[in-house]
Amino acid sequence: MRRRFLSLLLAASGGLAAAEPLSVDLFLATDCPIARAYSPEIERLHLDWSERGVAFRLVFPDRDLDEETLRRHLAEYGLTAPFVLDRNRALVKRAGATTTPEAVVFDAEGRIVYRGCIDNRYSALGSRLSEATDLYLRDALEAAAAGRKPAISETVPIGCLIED
Amino acid sequence: MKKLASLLLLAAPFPAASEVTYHRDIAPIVYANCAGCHRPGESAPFPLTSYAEVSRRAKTISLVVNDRYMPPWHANPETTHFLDVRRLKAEEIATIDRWIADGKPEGDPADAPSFPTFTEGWQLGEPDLVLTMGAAYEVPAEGRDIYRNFVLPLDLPEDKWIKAIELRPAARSVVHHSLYFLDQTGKARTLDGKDGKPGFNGMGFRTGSALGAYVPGATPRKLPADLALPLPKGADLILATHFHPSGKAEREQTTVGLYFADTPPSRKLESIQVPPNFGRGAGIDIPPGEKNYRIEDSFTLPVDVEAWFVSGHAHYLCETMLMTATLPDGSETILLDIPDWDLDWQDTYYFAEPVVLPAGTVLKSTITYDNSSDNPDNPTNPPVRVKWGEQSTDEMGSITLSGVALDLADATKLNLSNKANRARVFAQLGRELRDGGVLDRLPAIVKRLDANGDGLLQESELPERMREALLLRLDGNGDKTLDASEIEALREWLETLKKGRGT
Repeated sequence: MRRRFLSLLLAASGGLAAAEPLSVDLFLATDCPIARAYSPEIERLHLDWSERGVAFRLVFPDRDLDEETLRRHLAEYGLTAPFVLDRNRALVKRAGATTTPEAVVFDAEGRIVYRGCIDNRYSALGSRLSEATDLYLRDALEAAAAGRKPAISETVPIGCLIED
Repeated sequence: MKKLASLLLLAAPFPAASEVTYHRDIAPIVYANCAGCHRPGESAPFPLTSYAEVSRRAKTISLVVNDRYMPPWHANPETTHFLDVRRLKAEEIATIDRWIADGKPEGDPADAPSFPTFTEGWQLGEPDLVLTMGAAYEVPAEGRDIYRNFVLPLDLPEDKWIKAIELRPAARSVVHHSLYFLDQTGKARTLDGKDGKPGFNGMGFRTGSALGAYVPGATPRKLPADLALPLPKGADLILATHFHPSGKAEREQTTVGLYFADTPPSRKLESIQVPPNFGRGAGIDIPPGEKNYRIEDSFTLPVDVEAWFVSGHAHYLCETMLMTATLPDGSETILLDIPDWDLDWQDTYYFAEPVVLPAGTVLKSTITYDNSSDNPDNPTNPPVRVKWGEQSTDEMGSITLSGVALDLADATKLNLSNKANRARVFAQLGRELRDGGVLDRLPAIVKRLDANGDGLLQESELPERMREALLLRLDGNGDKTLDASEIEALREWLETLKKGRGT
């Protein structure tokens, strides 16, 4: 209720509300250390952007994962966004995702606006900055929400590869 | 008949005999190189103990083994023969890739070797003394890496000799590594918990002797032969632990096991650092953007030495480390070649056989650094000038060769020569004291440092970063305290430096 009210308010103010609703699929794995390490930032992204009408979805492309184990994992890492078990890789194929963690932003027509890393914290496996300095996903969302094309629309994701 | 057989062979794209299967070809590689850590209860993030567990991560496995990110082993095993090597051969990597390309066939479970019997619990058996941190340290879900020192009071009633330390983390996913030190000054106890959390900060608590390290995956070892390190009564054990936040809050309460020697060692283990003092005094000063900065240092062995193990230390900018030994006959041996240094995996490398180096052998270390933005490990972007220091954004650089004088009678000579090598750092210290104008303000500085007002400067009262060098240079009677005459010697030394004569 509160969320809808806020969106209406933002739409009415003609401010930051998206001209078209955006959605984000975040490809994750319960056992990938880099995907796990991003949990707090993923939760903040979800809270910040769902207030602005962007639908976040946590996608787990894992044939062996059962829902109960997944729910325990989400609770343990404090993740509250909607989730989906992508056992047949349908969402992986739609997004062209290869890696966990990987973020893919869609516009209202389902066109891909951004695909890749959440930010530049990792530059290779085992190489990471103490703090991210380029917030690729947030910047892409800001641009798309304002009806612009993101300055960076694709980055090479770093993490664990999604099995065929 | 013969013709028919050849035709049949040609018809089959991959003859059955050469098909790569999990059970016959992949399981032996995984069991020997991965499963030690990748099994339940160990430090790796997921298990690799079965066909199902390996095949569902096959692409990631291929990525990390081709990249040499895994298994974590950074010393070149071809130039030097080490124990416990965790590095895949090129053929093994090719086999893994072939298996994936063939569609990850499982094969016949009867072909698989039996799963190795790993020792549960203490790898070195029941320790002589078990210590656990008094309180758990909270590691937050995210943020910078944390370097934290923890004090484990030993309260030993008598001097002991130590053969090994084994460490067991409580929260394996966040404990990246831990270095062991001894504190005989009591200073660590006074710092412990001052900020309201167990332990204290600071990367370089190095007043005491180094006793090795815990690195996930490394095989704990007791010192060879009857070698042992002194553990004086009254000393505290310090764990300098490096944490990686893991995405959820964790609580770490480390347990360590100590293994003692029954008798004092017959020979003293000598740690020869080249350059000495972790590279302090080696003039490390790396301009921003410099891609191939290099330091070199050498040390000539005064006596025959039997070397047992070797290790390196540097921070994030370091790229390569090389220690060579040029023997008196002109032949050269490589003692350590790390072509891709990684701070995250600071191993101690044990030689497969002790290496005998005759008197006159020249040990030479060459260490290179990349301070450009092309170095993905550069902690500062854009790069800045980096000098020697104890913060993770500073640099260090040294290679330590550990061994003994081959002839017992030469032990003292080796020890004195090693000490003198460390003392070369006085040149650097002297420059800093002179440039800092210490001479003109000496009485005021002494008064300020003398926290307990007894007119003496105890080790714990000396500035930490120059403590070792100051004591080495000035503490004539070896009581780890600078008394009035030793402070006077400092004044005289500073006078000499001011006149620009000697060090």
